[in-house]
Formats: sequence, structure tokens, C-alpha cells
Amino acid sequence: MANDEYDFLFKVVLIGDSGVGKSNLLSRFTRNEFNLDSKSTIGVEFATRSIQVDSKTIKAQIWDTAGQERYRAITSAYYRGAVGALLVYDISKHQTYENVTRWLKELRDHADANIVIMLVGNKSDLRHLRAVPTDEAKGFASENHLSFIETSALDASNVELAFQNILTEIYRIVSSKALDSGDGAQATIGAGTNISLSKAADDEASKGGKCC
Amino acid sequence: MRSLAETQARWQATQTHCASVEDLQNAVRHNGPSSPCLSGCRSVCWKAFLLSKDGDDTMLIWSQSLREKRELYGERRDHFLKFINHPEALTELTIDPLADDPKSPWNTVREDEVIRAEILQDVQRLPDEANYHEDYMQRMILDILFVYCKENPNRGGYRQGMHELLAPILHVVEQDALDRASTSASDDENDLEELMLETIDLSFIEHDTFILFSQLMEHAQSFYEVKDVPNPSPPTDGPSQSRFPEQSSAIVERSKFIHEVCLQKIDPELAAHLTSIEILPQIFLIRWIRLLFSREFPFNQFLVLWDTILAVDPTLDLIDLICCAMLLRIRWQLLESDYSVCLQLLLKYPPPAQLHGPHTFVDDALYLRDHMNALGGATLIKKYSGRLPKVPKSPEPAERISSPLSGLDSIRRKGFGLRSPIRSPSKFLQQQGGVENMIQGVLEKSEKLGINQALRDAVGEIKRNMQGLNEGLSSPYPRVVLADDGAAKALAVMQRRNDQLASLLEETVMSLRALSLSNLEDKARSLDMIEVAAAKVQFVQIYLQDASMDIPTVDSPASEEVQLAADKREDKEIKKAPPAEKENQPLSPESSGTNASALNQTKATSILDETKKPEEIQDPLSEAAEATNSDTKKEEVLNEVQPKAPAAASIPARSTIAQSSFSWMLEPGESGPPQTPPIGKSPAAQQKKRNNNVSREKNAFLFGEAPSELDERDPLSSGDIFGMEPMQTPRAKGE
Repeated sequence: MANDEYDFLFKVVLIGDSGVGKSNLLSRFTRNEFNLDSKSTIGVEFATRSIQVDSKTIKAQIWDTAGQERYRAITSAYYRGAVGALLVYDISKHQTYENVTRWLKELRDHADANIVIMLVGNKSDLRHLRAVPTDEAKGFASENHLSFIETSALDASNVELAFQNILTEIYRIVSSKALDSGDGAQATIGAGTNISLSKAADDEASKGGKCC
Repeated sequence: MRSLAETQARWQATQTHCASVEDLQNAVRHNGPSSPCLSGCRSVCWKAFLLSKDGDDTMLIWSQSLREKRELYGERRDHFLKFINHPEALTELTIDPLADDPKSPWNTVREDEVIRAEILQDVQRLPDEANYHEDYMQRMILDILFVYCKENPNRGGYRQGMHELLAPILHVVEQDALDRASTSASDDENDLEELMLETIDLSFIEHDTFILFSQLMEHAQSFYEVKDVPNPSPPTDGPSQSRFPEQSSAIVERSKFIHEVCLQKIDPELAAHLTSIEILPQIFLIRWIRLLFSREFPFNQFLVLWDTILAVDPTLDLIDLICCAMLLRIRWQLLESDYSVCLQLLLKYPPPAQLHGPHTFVDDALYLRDHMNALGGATLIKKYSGRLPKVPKSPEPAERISSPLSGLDSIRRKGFGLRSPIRSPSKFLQQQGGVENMIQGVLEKSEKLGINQALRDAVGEIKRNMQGLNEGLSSPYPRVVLADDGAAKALAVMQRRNDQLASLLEETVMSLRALSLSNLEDKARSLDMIEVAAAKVQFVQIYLQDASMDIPTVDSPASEEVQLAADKREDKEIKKAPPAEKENQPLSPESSGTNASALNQTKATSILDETKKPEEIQDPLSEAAEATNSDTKKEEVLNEVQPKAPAAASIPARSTIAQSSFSWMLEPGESGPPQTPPIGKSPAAQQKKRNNNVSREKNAFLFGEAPSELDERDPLSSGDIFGMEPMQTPRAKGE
């Protein structure tokens, strides 16, 4: 709260089936917490955290909703103003991966057309239970112009990176918009959506203070 | 499990109040720590409240109902769980497991397993309270929810949250349960009331829980329902509307009702605040209501709250006012908070004071039910905070206007608000920082809406007003009118005033067009420009809304002249700043004040040329220069617009807004009163300062609404991807 200066404020939503770990991704990223028995989200939760990209402070306002809320009461309020979406599935439950298509449709229907989407295969710690091969999801992501990453909120792997990547990507688009003319907007977004996963967020270490 | 002795004592404690359900209700409400829910058997109280049809019901009557329902549940449970609990029975059937018949028990079982998996996922994630995670508890919760869904197929199946309504009921029933078998050996068996043994029989824990849950859901079901057919109700104003009409759901309707009807009556200031900062009530009310507040308060406290709710109103109609009471309790905190702080408060409700636990919200709600007005609300606010809210005595100007621009309207409320009503121009002028407030409002507004919304509002407003005002623009301004008295004068003054406002709008349109054509090369500057434009439109709106704001100054033409002259000096200074504006040099200060009327005529004609110029500045490569020029130009035009109308009516206000938006450009975040730039101040210095500001790059951005929501002809939509916008200050109000 003391450190609440920021250059950019980005609203990012977490979507995906119930139980894929959205709330734990949120708590891992914003509070570095994981709760094996975390309660089901009812309605909406929301938390913020600031990170540094290119010496700019980016405040992420991350919204988390019940997986069952799809097409439900809070849809438009939830997506309004969102510039990024983490579409989460559970690598150990194939059904949650199959439903990704439905979530993409939901995004198309309700979110900004230029929203940056990252496909996130969560629970990567459950190697022995893996039901969705990494390559398959990676292929799907690139076909649909989504960036892709596998995370584990439980052992914290890639969680930081996932948020860093999507926030950086949004930031790049925003900055490039300042230089690019309007006509290139669509192309810029489309092309820019594939983040090289090998590119570690170099300024991860310099992340800003947590908020809330 | 309790000892037999304790159970008996509790049973007796409950019985003393059980003459009728009404007695029990009173005891639960008023007996505090000795409430039969606390000292007696809570589950028995809940059964009485939920099962009795009538306040006069005695225990014998409702326990009869309990008996019948237990039997029914037993049957239904056996039916629905037959193959789940005994899958081997399926194989004994002579039915092909792969048959396509959807009614085949095989298919039913497969579907059921999907339902149970969905329920189980939530049951396993119940809060770490009570004994929810014991195996037998988990199993019972799963079975009860499953049977409930199967029993009520038309209610949309299992919805997340039901499990957290059910679990506390099971806990309460289980706590009180008495094992009949364990008492049979007891010596004083004969003394034990059969009614007690029956009512809290251990073997009917699951049955009774189902029964209580079903009774509760009779009224709570609507919290979970989503109508399949979109509700054709008239669209509401403002940005809360999605371009995709979402399915209407009862909880959203109810949330709206709580906010727009109940709270509006009880605490209009708070209702307006929540509207203005754009907190949609369902965002927090969904959880409050669906879980009957069980996540908002600690376990033991919400159980007492439930006791009280069930005692007072098992139909749950009082929920609306309980929500209002909760809002009232934190209304001062909410009023001084911005969007994200409010959201934090509402999603993490502050623990109520020890003396006034959550159950007191029910008392408040009952009071509000009988006093559903601002006075009733004020009484409660005073009771808990010691402070009295300002109850509006007369409708505010903002509320007279049923403006379609609910957005701007709400800025106005926020900016000038109920706490600082503006009734006259002198008051407006005296109010230090009034314009800053307004601009602050615009910016805060933009933060929530996305700049596209602000832009759309601005364009919409301009469109609406231009038509009517264009006529006035072409009409002459006979200065002699000022000498006239009475209505004719007032009319003429009003006409001129309209002309001024129209010109203001016109130049705002021009700068917005210029901006859109510039494709937003430089976001920070463009956004600054949009903010200025929005502030100007806002200014015009306010003056259009309150015609009284310029009348008092009409009577002092002498001082007008002086003021006019001073204004022109400023005009000239600002004009000097941009090199592109050399053609304005002839308008020297020497001419001002001497031949004002002639000059005004000249300016009135030149203004039309002037306003076209921004269109010409379209070189996207010279964005920096352009942004600066456009900015300057806007200010210049803004200043220039004024002198063409001889009536000084709006001059003080005019210079205030002009300088205010100007000074805001110079020093964002500074909230000092608008100052006339010192005469001797170098225009170059001003220019430099402005550039500094523009290049500060301290603007934060928030993405706004979809570009397609922009005015359809606005080329901005292609360039403004997410509708970024500057925050009023990079330092958001603390969270």
C-alpha cells in the first residue's frame, strides 16, 4: 500500500473450469501462498500486485471467478476492461482442456477483441497423472494465437513467469501502439501474441512490491 | 457428541421457549447469550423456524411434518443412490450397458457420476471449519446435494455455493444429534422424552439436514438461478450494460434492486457513490447472498446471524435490507474510497465491532423495513458511527436532469456532489478547487470506464448539444441588450451564454477529430488532450444544466469590461506561445478593453476559421509538435471563444475552467485553486512547462471498453486498442 505508484494498470482475468487452480495461481502470484484446500470461489475475487517491466511499474489487477460462472451472472462486469486473460486448464484432467474451446468462445463473445490470451496448463506437478501432453496444448495454442505455459501453483513453478509474460506482452503492445499507427493494430496484436517461452522475464528479480 | 446429560439440559433449555414458534423466535432474537440456539439445541430451533407454517405452531405440529419428510427423503435417497451405492446391481440388470437409450440406468449412472464429481470437487473444498472434512460429513453432504439436484431437476442442478449453505446445517444437526441406541441402556430411559429422542435422532442426521436445506432452498434457490431467456427489460443507462446482453439472473436483478431501490432510499449518497465509482452490486452481493453471509463473518458469528435470520424471516426476504445494513455500517469508509479500495472492503467485509455482531444487521434490517427512507438510514448511520449523514433537503441539480449521460452525471455528483452543492456561480467560484474536483471526477471516471467511454460521452454530448446551439452561433450579439431590463435581457444573455458554450463544444469536437486523425501516435499527449476535452465538455454540461449559474454577474457591466480586458491579456499570452499561431498576433492587448465590442465581432468571425485549424494538423510524424500545438490551440480557442460574447455573465466561470484545465495540464496532481497566470510570465516558460508535463510519462493506463463501443465514425477505434487512459495521478489512492 505504501508502494502504490504505478505507470500502468492492467486488468487480467483468470478463466477456466472449476477446480483447475485459478484461485491458487492468483494467491501464489499475489501473496506467494498456496492452499491445498482452498475454498471454491463464489462470485468474484480480486487481488493486485505490481511488477517491473522496462523500469516501468505495472500494476496487475487480477480477477478470479468461479469456474461455474461461465455465461452467468457477472459475465460482462468480469470481462469489462480486461486486457489479458489466463485461460487455465488442469493437465491432469483432460475435460478441462477440452473445455478451453468453450472458454475461448466466451472470450470472443464478451471480452475485448484484442485481449491478450495465455493458455495455462496448471498442476504440472502432477506428472504421474498427466492427461494433456504438453505438445498437444502447445500446438493448440499456436493454432489459436495464444501464448502457452505450464505452471504449478503448488510448487510455484512458472507462476511468476506466466504473469510476467502476459503483463510484459500487454505492456509491449501498449508501448508499440504509441509508435505504430492504428492500421497495424490488429496485426501487431496477432503477431505479438506468441511469446517465446524461452525468453525468461529478465526483470523478474526486480519485481515490485506486492499490494493488497 | 454431547453427553446425554448435556443434551437433556439443552433440550430443556430449548423446550422452555417452545410453547410456540413465536416464543422461540423472540427468545432467539432477544436473549443474547442465553438464546435457545446457543444454550439449547440450535438444530431444534432451526427446525421449528423452517418447518412451521405458522407462528402459532407448536412443536408437536412441526415435528409431525418432520416425520413425514424423513420418510420421503429415505425413499428418494434409496431411489437415486441405488446404483451409486450398489453398482453391482447394474450388472444384474438385463440391459445393454452400451445401449443408446438415454433412460438406460447405465447412462443415468454415468450422468450421475459426472454430477457427483462436480459436487464432490466443491465438497472437498469446503472451508476448514467445524468438522466438514470428516469422511462421513463429506459423504453426507455429497449425497444430500446429489439427491437435492435429482429431486429438483428443473432448478438447474448443482450450483457452486449450495455446498456452503448445506454444510453448516449438517454441522448444527450433527452437533445436537442423540444416539437413541446409547440411551436405551440408561436407567432413566423412561424419563427421556420420546419427542427429544425423535427430534434429534442420530440416525436421521442426513434426513433432517436434507429437509432443512430443502426448506431453506425454497427461498434461496433464486440466488442460484439463471433464466434461460434473456430478460427483455429495458436496458439500464450507463456503462454497466454490456454490448452482449448477458443472461439475466435473479441474483443480478436482486443486487440491482438492493442497490438502486433499497439503498437508494435509505442512503442516496452511498448509492450514488457506488454508482459513480462503478461498482456493480452483484460483484460482492453474489457471495454475500448466495452463502447467506457465511464467508463474510467468522463461523460462530454467522451461525448466530443465521439463527436470527431464520427466527425473523425464514423466507429470506429480509436479506435485501440486511445487505443494506451492512453497507450502512461501513458507509463512511466506502464514501471516501475509490474503486479498488471499495472492492476490497466489500469483498473482505471489515469485522463488525464486538458489541454489534453480525446478528445486529438483522435488527438494523428490521428497523429499515419500517423506516425505508433516508431518515431511517441516517438514524442507523448515527447509531453506529456517531456521525449524521447529510440528508439532502432539496433535489440537487444533478438529480433534476434525467441525463442519458449517467456517466458524466455521476461525475458531477462526485465532483460537486451532495456534500458541495452548487447553487450559484458565486458559490461555484468561491469553492476553491471546485474545478479540480470536477476534473478529478472526470479522470477517476475515465479510470473506470476507459477513455473510450469518456470520449464517447464527450462526442455524444457534443452531438446532442450542437444541433440546438448552432443556430445561436450564427446570431448576432447586440451589446445593447445588456442595457435592457427584464426577460428580454435574460433571454439574450442566455442566448449568448449558449453561443459561448456551443463554441466551446465546437472546438472540443475539432480537437477530438484532430486527435482521432492523428492516430494517437503519442498516447500520453493524446490522452491528456482527451482529458482536457472531457473536462471542457463536462464544463459545458454543468453550465447547460444549471442556467442560474451566470445570471448574477449580468448586472455589473462595468466590472465586466475590466475582467474582459484582463482575460484578453491572458488570451494573448497563451496565443504567443505556439509558433504556429502567428496569425493571432494582431489581437494585441492594446485593443482589448478599448473597443471590446468591435473586437468581439472580429473574434466571433475568426473563431470559425480558428476551429477548423486543428484538422490541418495531421502530420503523424510530427506528433510531438502536433500534440503540443493542438493542446495550445484548444486552450487558445477556449480563451478566444469567450470575448465574442459581450455578456460577461460566464466570464469568471470561463476563465476559471480555462485556466483550471490549463493549469492541470501544467501540473497534474496539483490541486491548488485556479490562478490567473501572472501577466509577466513568459509564454515560453509556460510552453516549456507544458511540454515537461507531457513528457513526464507518468501517466498510468487502464484498458477501457471495446473499441466497437466507440462512436462508429471515430477512427480512433482502430488505433485505440484497449482504450488506454491516464489515471488522474500515478499515485492511486492507497489500497
